[in-house]
Amino acid sequence: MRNFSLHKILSVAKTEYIKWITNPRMIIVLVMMVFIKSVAIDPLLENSAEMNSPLNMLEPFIAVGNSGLVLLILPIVYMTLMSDFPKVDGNAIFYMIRTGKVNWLIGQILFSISAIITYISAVLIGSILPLFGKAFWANGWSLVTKQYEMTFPEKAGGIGAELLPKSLYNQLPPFSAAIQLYILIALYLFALSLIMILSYLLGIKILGTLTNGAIISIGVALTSIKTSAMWLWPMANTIIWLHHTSYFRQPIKPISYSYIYFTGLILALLILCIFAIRKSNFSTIKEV
Amino acid sequence: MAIIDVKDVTLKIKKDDILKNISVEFEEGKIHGLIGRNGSGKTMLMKCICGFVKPSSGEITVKDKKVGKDIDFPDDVGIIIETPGFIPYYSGYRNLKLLAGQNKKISNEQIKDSIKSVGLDPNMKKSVRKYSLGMRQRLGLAQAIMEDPSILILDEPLSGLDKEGVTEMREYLKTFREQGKTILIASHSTEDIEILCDTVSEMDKGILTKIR
Repeated sequence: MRNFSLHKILSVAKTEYIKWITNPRMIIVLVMMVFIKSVAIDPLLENSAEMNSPLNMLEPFIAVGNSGLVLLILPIVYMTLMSDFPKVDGNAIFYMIRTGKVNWLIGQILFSISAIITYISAVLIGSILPLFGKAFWANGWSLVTKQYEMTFPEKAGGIGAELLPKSLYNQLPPFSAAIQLYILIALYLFALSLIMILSYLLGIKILGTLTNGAIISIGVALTSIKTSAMWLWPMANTIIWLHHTSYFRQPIKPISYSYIYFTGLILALLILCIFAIRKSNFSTIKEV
Repeated sequence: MAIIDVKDVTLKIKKDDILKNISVEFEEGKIHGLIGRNGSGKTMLMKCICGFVKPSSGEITVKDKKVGKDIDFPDDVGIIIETPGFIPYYSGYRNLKLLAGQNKKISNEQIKDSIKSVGLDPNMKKSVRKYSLGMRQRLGLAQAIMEDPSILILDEPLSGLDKEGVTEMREYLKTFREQGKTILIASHSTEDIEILCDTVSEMDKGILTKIR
């Protein structure tokens, strides 16, 4: 079998990334950002205007990552952007025959990591941009987040107030919340990517797409009714505030559980991919 | 001497028998033709030889190495399987440069020479998405030959070409044979096969019969 080659892996990842980023389908990200702005960023900005007090620059991103609705949309859009992943077309076979299967597979995995980082960074930047000149940069929550419900008790339970709950701002500083959110969403999307690649290698790509659809929808359903079974699905493990109560230090579920959960899931999928690549067929090579 | 040896290869996909007990040897330095209707199994046999599809049973040896056992994909092989695909927003040269970067066997000048040798301009800035089908086929051939492989596996390399293009491509293939390369070519066109090939085999419903 061909030898492991970092150069070939990086080359495959680079080529796949170029094909992905130049795909006209990327316009969907802009549409999603408009949606996110209307459901998560604008309500916070409205609260900020009402309070006449600035937001923390990171609060909209944290709100985005903790909104059940956005966390339903985020993986669905990602799945759409990656719908043909791994793209085995007339171009991919030229690479594959030069790199060997394992280098190609690792290149694909590296590409999916790059795509995830780009995607979440786009959401992060898209959440920060509308706040320039209207927000501050510090590791502390804004008065808007902490005191809106007290100032306007009649508006408690509104969308803007619900986006950043007590179980988040009473438990974690914003920098930590943003970093953990970024990592957990990335792990969630990476697990979905690995299911896509594994199902392709096993020749059951449609089943892989359906599995991902089921993972997203069941995760959303269980999270919305807050049953303990939600911790078996990636969605709940991605939402930071679900791990905590509003006031007590003792968490409902330690955040370390979610990291272990994703690490175990991802390792299992990676091992299955390595085994599957040896026996996989590329009989359904598509044209560009 | 057989450079490609296919021994008792069977391929089943779901319940369909795609290839049925195929045994054939392809000798070095010749052009070998595969003819047959659409869906007869020509492309699948080529994919098996290239290592993209693992046969259900049987064994394929390319240059004394068992495909799928000793090697994932055969070394020293240039391929065109179905329509050659490239990154649409890159020029032909840039596409080939990216591919050649995998093995780092050849210089930029050699890439340009291979593009020239199939009648394309390596300095053309036009992106591949603006190429005609014929130009893509030529670029596909340049991709296949640029690292100077000793075996070329070409699935329908003449499809989409105009009359002039077909004549030119035939000449290229004859030149490659003169250089000692072994070429396995699949085509619908019996005329291409008649003119070009030293041996001809016909695929029909997964059964390969040598007819010349």
